[in-house]
Amino acid sequence: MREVSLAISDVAQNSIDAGAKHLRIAVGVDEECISFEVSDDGQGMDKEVLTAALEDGKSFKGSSGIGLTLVKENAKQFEISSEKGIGTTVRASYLRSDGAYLGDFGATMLTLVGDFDTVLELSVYGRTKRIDTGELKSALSVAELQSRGVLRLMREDINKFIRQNGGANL
Amino acid sequence: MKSIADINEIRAKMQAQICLRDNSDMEKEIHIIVGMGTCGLNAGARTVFNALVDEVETKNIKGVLVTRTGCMGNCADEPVVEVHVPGKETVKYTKVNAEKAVEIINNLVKA
Amino acid sequence: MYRTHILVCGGTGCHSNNSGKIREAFEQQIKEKNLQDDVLVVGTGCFGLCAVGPIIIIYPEGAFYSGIKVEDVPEIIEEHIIKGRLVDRLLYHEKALGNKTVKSLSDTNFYKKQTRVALRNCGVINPEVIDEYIARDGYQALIKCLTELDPQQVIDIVKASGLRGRGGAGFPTGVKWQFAKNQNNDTKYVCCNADEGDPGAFMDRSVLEGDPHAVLEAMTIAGYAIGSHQGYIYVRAEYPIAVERLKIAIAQSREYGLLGDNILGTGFAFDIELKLGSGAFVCGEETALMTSIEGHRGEPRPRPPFPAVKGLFAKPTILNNVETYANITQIILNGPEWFAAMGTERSKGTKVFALGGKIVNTGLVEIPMGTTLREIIEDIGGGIPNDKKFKAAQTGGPSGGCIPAEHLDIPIDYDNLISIGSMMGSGGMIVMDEDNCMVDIAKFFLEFTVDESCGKCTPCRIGNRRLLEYLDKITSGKATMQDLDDMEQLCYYIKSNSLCGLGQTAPNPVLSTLRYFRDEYEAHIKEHRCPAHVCKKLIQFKITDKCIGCSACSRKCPVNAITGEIKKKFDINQEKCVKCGQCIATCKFGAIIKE
Repeated sequence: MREVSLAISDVAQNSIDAGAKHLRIAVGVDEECISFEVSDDGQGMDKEVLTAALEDGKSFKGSSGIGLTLVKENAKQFEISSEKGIGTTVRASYLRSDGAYLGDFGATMLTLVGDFDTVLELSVYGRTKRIDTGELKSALSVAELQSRGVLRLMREDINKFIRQNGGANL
Repeated sequence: MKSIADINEIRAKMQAQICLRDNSDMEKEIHIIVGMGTCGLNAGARTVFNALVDEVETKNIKGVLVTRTGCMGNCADEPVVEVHVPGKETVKYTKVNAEKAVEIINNLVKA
Repeated sequence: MYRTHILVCGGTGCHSNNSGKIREAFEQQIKEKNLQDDVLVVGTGCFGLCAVGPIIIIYPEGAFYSGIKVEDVPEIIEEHIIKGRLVDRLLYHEKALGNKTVKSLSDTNFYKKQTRVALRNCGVINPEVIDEYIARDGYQALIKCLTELDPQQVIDIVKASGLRGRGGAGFPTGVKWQFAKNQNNDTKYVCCNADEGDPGAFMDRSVLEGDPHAVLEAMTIAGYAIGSHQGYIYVRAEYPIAVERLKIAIAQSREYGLLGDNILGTGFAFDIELKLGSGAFVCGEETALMTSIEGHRGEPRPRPPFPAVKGLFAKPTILNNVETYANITQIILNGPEWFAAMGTERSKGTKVFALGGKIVNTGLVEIPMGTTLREIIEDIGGGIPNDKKFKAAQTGGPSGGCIPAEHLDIPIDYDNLISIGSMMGSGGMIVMDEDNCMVDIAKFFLEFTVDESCGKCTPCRIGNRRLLEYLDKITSGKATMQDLDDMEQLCYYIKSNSLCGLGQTAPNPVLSTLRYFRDEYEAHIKEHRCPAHVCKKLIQFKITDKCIGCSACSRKCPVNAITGEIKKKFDINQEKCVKCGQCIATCKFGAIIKE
């Protein structure tokens, strides 16, 4: 999984499965690496579960149990901290020299507007962009955001920002 | 002077603009769920999700909500898309791609 | 592609409150901020909630701003358009919900309970842009008629829908069209009655201002159905905005080939001409209207022959009201079953009412037939202001009658309203509370008909004047019980002997108030008392002991009827007092009362 956007989506899905109401996603890009941090206010894990979560093929929710392992193995740096009842934070960093690229992050962000609020902090070569889906939702429901093309505009906006500041190959 | 075809063309063009003013889609009914666990994601669930949302918008369909969910347990058949229409049985589509996503929306329109 | 649409109401109500200037301010400031490619400013027809105008709606949020002034424009642009934050201060507050702020138009009780068919485009499209009408399925019904249906099929659809004339009498529209179609004549006419004249009624004006093409399209369909090639819209010259928009709409339709010799290349020819009326109420009566279009003085003529046989220029003619036409395209597109599914057994579809008088949400509402008066007044209308008690609702204008509180729960349709002594009329609905004198109301409507009587027939010309004299006598406290009986007799005489609808219905306001509020008439006669303290000749203004002698009233009194010494109780000279009520409004201590 060299497209970091997919890894972010994967980690975020864990947060959603853990019942998170708020997601904070920070993504940073510079010449060398692409890093991200996903933190949530989901149910969190105790030590035992956390250890098992990082084992290949182990799952507590009936899935294949390979997600986190994949993220961990592809990343240059990987950190996870979690507290039962508080939430979980995942940090990962990928080397661009290993072939990692951000990919279609706009498309990922489009899938992250739901009944939870996502705050995105995107930083590409020092230029930053912030999106709070809670603000979008204050005016329109998710379905309205979808059917009226608001999310499409958001997707195009994000990708335009990434391409303009990070180049076509990011 | 315009022909019938001209009128229909104006209609299609202007509808895209006017639909912004339609608030009748306040109550959502049809729910489309895309499996976006690791398995789904790697099989292209994100493309499918985006294709579904785009198609709902281009076809200007009211009352559809697309959401994501985790692994649905059919990892080999991902991407999996579930369609819930009130009063009808839930339909599960497997190995969906962008073209099939368009087809799914087309079927909803017909029904 | 615009990401935001700012809709500014351009109906007559909001227009008189400067909405034109507000729209210009938006356009100019959007341009200054270089947002003209992202934000579209649209002038629309009436949104309906005229009481809180000027109204602005901003999509995609549907944010509903009310009572906007030109000075508010920069804040809306800065906050809402640029920063994406709603301007709470300017959002509509729904009084019925304890002043809760309402974000979106569709969240208001006023809109939630409505079903908009005739008003579907009012406040949604720019009436001066035909393309926006086309985007809302405009002219699809005409295309369907010209390409898929033969004229008889069109009439069958209208018949099956159960649509009845919205002008007031409620004659089945399809049947009317059939009569005209059955006439063997090369020349036939399609007319539209836009001579809305009832005091307090403005639904036709709003349709013409907000969705003129709907009327043009429906008239063309009617022309196709009955075999006519010429239509006339008779609209009053006092509706300048409606006239202007109709002119624009007709020009656009001709340009698009939707009116003219060869409509959409189908070979069908139809054109529409505007005829401006000068505001004579009688010209709303169908035979008088046609006489006026012909260029003569607007006087009615006896029927039969009915217009469908011998109407305009002695040719077979159909005449429908604006709101009736506004329903036609939707019936053709959605099918007669869809339309007939709304309403009651004998009154299908919806009806537009113009709510006025003592009601919170003054404005325009469209409700399915069969909705109760209570729902209209309490839920949609937001109830009576100032915690006053509902007394009656007047429907049908000068031809209608009053509905008292005991009938609040009756489902509104043509037949029910007639059974309780009122009528649907064109849709004016004036709400009255305990401060209204019913005799005075009857007098108000009768003064109107006396003014508007064309004078052609004696029962109406002289009968109604005599009737008014009786009412004058009653409100001055000089009438006897014998007068009351004679007056009632006279009412029936006028009704049965007048030539046209105007005279035949003129006594209705008197008869219906007599039926439900005879006690008020009797109080005027027997006790020389006006229970609502309205009739000036029967009330006295008095200063009570609460007076502190501030002299404010005495300085305000236009006839110097109030005198007294500072810091002592003042006094009103009853001889001089003209009962204007200025003193009551001036007194800060509630020391002046009406008796």
